[in-house]
Amino acid sequence: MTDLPDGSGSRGREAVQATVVSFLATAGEQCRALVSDLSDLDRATDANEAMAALHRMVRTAHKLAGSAGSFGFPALGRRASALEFLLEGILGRDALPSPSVRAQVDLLARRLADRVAVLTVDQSSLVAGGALDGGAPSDARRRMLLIGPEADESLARLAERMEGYGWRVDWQANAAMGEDPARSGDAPAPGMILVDGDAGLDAIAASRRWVSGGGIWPDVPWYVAETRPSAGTRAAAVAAGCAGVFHKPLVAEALLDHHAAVLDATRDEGPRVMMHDPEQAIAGMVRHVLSEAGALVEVVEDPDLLIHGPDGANADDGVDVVVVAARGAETNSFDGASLAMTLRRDPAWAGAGLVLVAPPIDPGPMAETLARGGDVVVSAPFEPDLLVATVLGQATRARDCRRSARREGLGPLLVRDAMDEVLTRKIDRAVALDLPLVVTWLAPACAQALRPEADAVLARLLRETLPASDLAGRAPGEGVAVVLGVSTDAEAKSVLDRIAAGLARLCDGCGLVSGVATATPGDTAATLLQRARTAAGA
Amino acid sequence: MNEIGPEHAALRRVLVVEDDQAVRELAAVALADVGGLQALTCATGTEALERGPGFGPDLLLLDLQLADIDGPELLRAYRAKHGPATPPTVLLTGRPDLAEDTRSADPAIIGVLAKPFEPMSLAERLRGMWQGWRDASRS
Repeated sequence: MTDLPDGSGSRGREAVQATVVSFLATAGEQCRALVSDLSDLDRATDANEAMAALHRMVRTAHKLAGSAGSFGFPALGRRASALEFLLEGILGRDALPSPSVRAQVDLLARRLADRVAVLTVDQSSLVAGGALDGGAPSDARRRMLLIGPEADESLARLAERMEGYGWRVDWQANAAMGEDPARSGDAPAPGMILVDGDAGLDAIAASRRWVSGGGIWPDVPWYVAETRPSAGTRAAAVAAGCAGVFHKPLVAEALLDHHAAVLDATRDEGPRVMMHDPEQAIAGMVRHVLSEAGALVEVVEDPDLLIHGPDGANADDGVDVVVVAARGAETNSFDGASLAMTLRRDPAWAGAGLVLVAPPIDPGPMAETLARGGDVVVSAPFEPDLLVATVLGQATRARDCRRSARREGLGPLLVRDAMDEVLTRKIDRAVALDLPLVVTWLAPACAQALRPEADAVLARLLRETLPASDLAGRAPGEGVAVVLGVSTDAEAKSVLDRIAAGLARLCDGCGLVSGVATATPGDTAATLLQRARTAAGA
Repeated sequence: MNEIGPEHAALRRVLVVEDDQAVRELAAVALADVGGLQALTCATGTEALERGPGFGPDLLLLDLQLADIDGPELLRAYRAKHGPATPPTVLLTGRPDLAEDTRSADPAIIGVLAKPFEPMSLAERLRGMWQGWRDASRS
């Protein structure tokens, strides 16, 4: 029995670190077992031996998937989870895997083993992410990697304000110092990277390597700040995929607003993805990894449903991305490459991104057709994280076209009518499914003259500190309503305390009034918000 | 259905049943060293049925899929053996989608925690769930 009632502190930190050491040893053994089972699969003389090896592998992958993320290695956990789903898909069909499925299993298992072999304790986000220092749970999405000289006063002011908005700033003097965690592969990905362009182009080149398709942080937006951005810097940055070039001194609010705009298309709800892959086991794995990344995924077994789909991508709530696998020769199924080209020529799908998964071949005449749609070809077998980044990138592009005007400025606040509409739907669903729905009403408490500034700071704080699944919008009485993804008042209070602390830090002397209410049968948006507002004493 | 109200004003003792040794150790550290709770860990359902009652847990934290028995089955066996002394239960799982049906079928299951979990806030989350259950039991 463990009985140490003295709470967190250095002993807690040391104890958690010790478990990470223990985990790495266990994960090493598990990966060696996976590779050994791969060999058994190759050597199997009959189907029973092969299936036994697959069963052992799925059990190992399940354990690794369930533990790696908790120990601060989320990328490892995602990869293990993808392998688990792939293997379950194979076993569910009670047939030996085809060569392409076998290649996918091989890639995932060996990459897992390669990765675990080079992991160290300090690469765990429990250690590197500052989670052991107490306070709010770690959230890699709000870690900024800042590359520039530490003596720069404008960057120091920027860093201080960013921290006020809940971001942890990892400040490195040069790109080489930022390179180490990037190389490790399982270091927590930053939410954004900011490079001081005055320090030279090395950092820009490094950022390009990190965030490129084959890089270690493929989906991380990065920016450059420079005293007088030259045409050369702008050209180099844009060519390298930089999401914004700013003049120095750069203020935190400008950076955060720009960053929010970059993320806007995927913030409030997951992208919609349809996919067709005749290899059902791989289709199941892809559905899992995309769903884990927040996408709504529909697997279509019959390609005719795609070709003759009623709405395609042009309806308001249409599909953002179609993923098609080309495996025709191997499976005697519909040729995926032809399907992709058919979809690309169909006006109904003009608004959707298209991702073609294909063996590493020269796409030949396909290239021009697909390139016109800005489409992407991913070589199979593939890294799940790379496919996810590619699909989400395509979804962002598609959704830019449909971005609604229902939000105030750069968000996250919905305008009153939109908030009422969405809240009504959420209440109906919560009541029907007997789910908790916790709503808070909040407003800055400060002198009237400070109110506009405090209101803007509060909106940004909500955007930066709440999970994407929470919903915020304008509410009656010059307040803001937030639907929180929590189930108890105690959890809601913890969230509100964090927001109040941030507001006090960023807006000197400003307090926060807030009240919480939980939806009950018969509630409307108006009655629920009124109860929360009454609880706030407003 | 859980027929008793909580004896304590605050969550103190948690029985953790998890077959993965690494996760079991992490949960124990997260609850005790970080969270200031008392934690007893068991690797199997059988062990939990034997050792759990003597520990007097306020809450059960059960892996959904144990090696010898699944979490809901263990809860039923615990209830059959120990009756109304069975505390509320939180399921721990890498497949929360599979756990929701189970949760709605048994009121004693007051929550589902997805793996991976955040060890530094595990105790806080369980306290929140337990407090919510306690408030509902008293109202």
